Amino acid sequence: MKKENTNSFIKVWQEDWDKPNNKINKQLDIKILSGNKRSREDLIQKKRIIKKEDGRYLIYYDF
Amino acid sequence: MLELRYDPIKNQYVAIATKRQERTFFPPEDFCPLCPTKSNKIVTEIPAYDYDIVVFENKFPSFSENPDKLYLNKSEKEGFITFSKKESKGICEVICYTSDHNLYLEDMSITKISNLIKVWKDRYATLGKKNFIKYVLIFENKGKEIGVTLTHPHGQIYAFPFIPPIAREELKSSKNFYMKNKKCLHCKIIEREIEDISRVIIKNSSFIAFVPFYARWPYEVHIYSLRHIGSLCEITDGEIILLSKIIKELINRYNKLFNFRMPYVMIIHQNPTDGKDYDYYHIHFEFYPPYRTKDKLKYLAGCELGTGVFINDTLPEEKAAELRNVDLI
Repeated sequence: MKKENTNSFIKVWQEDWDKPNNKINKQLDIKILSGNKRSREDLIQKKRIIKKEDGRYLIYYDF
Repeated sequence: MLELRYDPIKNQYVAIATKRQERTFFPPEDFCPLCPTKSNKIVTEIPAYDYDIVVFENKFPSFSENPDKLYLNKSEKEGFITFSKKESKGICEVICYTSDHNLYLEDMSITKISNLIKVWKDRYATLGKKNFIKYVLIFENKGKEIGVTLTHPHGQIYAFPFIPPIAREELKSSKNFYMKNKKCLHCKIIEREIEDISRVIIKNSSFIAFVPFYARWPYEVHIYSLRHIGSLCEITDGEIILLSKIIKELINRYNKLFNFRMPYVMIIHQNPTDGKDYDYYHIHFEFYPPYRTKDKLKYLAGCELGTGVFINDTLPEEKAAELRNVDLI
């Protein structure tokens, strides 16, 4: 698949899954036990986030 | 202007979002803003030459992470009642399902639909973990009859700073039922639908699709997880595949029913994300197609808009049979 090189303006995405006091993480850490933890981690690796000129973010999910 | 105005009579907020009047309205296919950028002359919302699935902030949002500052003018402060408003602080996103302008959700492979569900799952978790987001609504509007102005296959996400009224009502009923019976209201409804069978359209080992006993729209269908879970965060990879299959089959049944692509609104109902415990709630999808016959639309009119009471001119059992009997081959 041909894709443009967006490296020059990729913003580092501050994923804070592991922050202990995160409210959703608290729910997820319990719920994820009945789900699939690996798929959540896989998804994060597949995200590429860029900032558009007007400041809006855009996320490519590559599979 | 973006702001939330409170209606003290109906006890609910109205989102004022005036910029949305300027949103793109039925552009020609060559100028579709959701297609990939194929040349430097026409730069779309998506700068890549191709993509799998893309999510971006809506250019014409109803809420914003950085909303307008509020001010109260003189007329709003005076009198017996102060009109209440607050910042429209939320997030609105667009999800492009595919780079192919003409590949609709029901045409996509099970793998591609599964990938989309994984993106829904990630957006729910990512947006929901923000402190100011209390409810994440994932939905799709499809078809000009629904008011869709961009035909490229896509859905939307509204991340609300409050729990919206319909979700609030559903949560209240679910909680009351649970407090009284120590059982999930939705699980019991699923049991009844399976026992009754007359309104069931599709069932696999993890999901069921049926026209609810209390359908408001002639071809309204709800898809439920058979397992008691509150959000996509709890869904397994195996369940994602089965959910993809049931969504694909349902939409294809809709399309075959009248031999055109059935427009619909699809809503995913999930737990709020305000950090509270909603173990009594149960994830489900709701589909509302607006047609009541092949060439007649159902409109929301006096009774529906004036009282909130829906008049359904059809029998849910008969409509379920029609959908069940569609020959997909």
